[in-house]
Amino acid sequence: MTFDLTIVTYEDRDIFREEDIFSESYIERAAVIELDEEEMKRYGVSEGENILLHNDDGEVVVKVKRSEEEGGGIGYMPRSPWSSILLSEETKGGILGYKHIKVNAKKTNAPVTDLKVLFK
Amino acid sequence: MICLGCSCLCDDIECEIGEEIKVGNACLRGFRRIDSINENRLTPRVERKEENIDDTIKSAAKLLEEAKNPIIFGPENSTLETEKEAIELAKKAGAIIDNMSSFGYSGYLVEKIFRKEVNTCTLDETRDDCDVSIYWGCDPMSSHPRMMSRYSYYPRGKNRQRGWEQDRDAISIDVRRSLTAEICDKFIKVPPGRDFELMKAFKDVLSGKIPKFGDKKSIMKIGNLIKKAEFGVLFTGLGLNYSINHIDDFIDLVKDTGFRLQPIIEGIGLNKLLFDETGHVNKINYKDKSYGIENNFVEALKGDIDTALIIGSDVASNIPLKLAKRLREINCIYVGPHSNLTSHISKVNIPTAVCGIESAGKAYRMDLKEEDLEKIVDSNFLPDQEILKRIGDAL
Amino acid sequence: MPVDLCTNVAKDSDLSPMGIYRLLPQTNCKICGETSCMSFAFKLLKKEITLDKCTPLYEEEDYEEDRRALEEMLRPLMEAEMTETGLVIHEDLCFGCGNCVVACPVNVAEDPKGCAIGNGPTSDKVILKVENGKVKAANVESCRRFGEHRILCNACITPCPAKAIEFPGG
Repeated sequence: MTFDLTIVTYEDRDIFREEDIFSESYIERAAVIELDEEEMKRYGVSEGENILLHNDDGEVVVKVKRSEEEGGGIGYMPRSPWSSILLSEETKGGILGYKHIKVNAKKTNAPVTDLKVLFK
Repeated sequence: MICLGCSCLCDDIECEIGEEIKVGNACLRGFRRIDSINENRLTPRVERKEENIDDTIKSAAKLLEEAKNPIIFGPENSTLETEKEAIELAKKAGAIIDNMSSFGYSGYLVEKIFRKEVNTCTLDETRDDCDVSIYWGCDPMSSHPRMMSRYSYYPRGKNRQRGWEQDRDAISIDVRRSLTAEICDKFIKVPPGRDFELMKAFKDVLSGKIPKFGDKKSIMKIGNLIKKAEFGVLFTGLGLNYSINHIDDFIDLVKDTGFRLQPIIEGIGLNKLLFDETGHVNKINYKDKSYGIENNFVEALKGDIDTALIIGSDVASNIPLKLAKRLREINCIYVGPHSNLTSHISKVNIPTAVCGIESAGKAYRMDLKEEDLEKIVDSNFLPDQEILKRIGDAL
Repeated sequence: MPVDLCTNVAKDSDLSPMGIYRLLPQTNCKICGETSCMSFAFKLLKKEITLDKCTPLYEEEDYEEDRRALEEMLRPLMEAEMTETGLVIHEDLCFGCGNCVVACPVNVAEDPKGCAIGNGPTSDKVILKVENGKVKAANVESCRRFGEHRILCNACITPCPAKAIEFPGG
């Protein structure tokens, strides 16, 4: 079963532009979505498990992180190659919708999306 | 030394690069940039095959020479010299030139400021005089970690001797409880896309009406704080840009409040240089010197762009997957110090020095204060401005 | 389900001179015998004065909400024992913003031309300084939480967005 979710992307203090985006440590920090307790319950996922996010523009598997902040149908993703997969190419006067991405979400056992495979 | 880790351009950095790297006063973002001179460096490649640097420059020049519709994008943290060379190259190649400022409204707001249609002030004035600062859709604590400790909130200023404790108020407006929201006196959480309603509520308070949105008491309290401000400064970032459709109403609100506007933006040097030359800060096509939305990087990539030269900006990580894949199909050249997704999908990779550490130059702080960057260590990498010049010379 | 627009006052619950000051009338009326509301706040923290000396708080209706918040805030202080400074910095959380460096009253007093105006320290006597992107402590004996006339100063904790500074001793 899938659920509607709105994704808000943000700039993460722990992600640096000099980093190797293929390194394990980077993926650990960048390929994540923050969900609150209630949202996690809704999808039946626990912290550290994977979730599949998809919409007409793409699909991506990322790891779930617990958010201290109440979500109310919102998940927070660091701005990264993983969150950009879900961006629509429809812009409002050239402006991309980083702060308001509509997706469907469901729990998955698939591994986190591998950028090297995606861009093979 | 001056730190080019973000557009704060902190000028009090102590740096020793020997067997160990020791950096004083820089935030983690700034330290990581210095510490990164030994990691994840780009190697010169053409079609994934390692080449010498001269051959990569020749290949880049050839691709640009053959291009019918080229585009040049970036840089984010670089020197004015590099930005000048990028413009020269765009002229020579008849290319579009654009940068990250056109992905949100930052460019639009900066252009208004350059035209003197909206008030702004310097960060030094902010430190000396600011009593109320608002962070709308931006999180400087994460993106520009020392901005609030150096200028807008914590320091004692000439006319704000009692600093943050008594002389200053800080208000965060955002879709999430960011690090900035965590330390501000007041925080308003706005659901995605509903900033406009909050703007209207503030307008009501300013004109003495009861706001019709949110928790009225809190909105009134904050609205009155804004009304009473002697020297207010409003910082904006990507968040505001992506969630407000009514940007001109926002500008009206800024004017009504009498606040000074400071978009938190990287690469403002390119915007200023372009503005001085064309009257616009981005989205210029040097083929016919035209300006317009069709020259926005995202829009252009949907069109008939056949060659892209990206300078020091991991644009591929910030655009929709379909467009990143399109970037991989066309002739893409990446010029920059480190590997990233953009270099990974580019046909030509040309490594550069990390400017402000391995090469010198000038740069603008976000408020256009000019700083001189020194070269701290020798390296085998060429400065980015030199690479761009050599590509231009080879055209 | 959309999130409702909500507002909050992030810092009013902080047990610090400023956290207290923000809830006081801020009129500097001197009824309590102090020269300003700020010095009243400091004395409250040092337990040298009690809240009821601020009579306007109890007399004027407008202050009622703030007074209740103050009473709530000061309760743990009334119950707490002051301890030696025991400053702990969680380096994994710190990202070197330097808010604490600029906010620490000892840093400000020792370094008026550096920390006080937002710059990196120019004096050896400061307590907090950022090195390699993380804050480091020195001269802790100058910390206001140390020694005979110690107070529960919170000036380095309140401005830390990452909750990287702690005094576990209370």
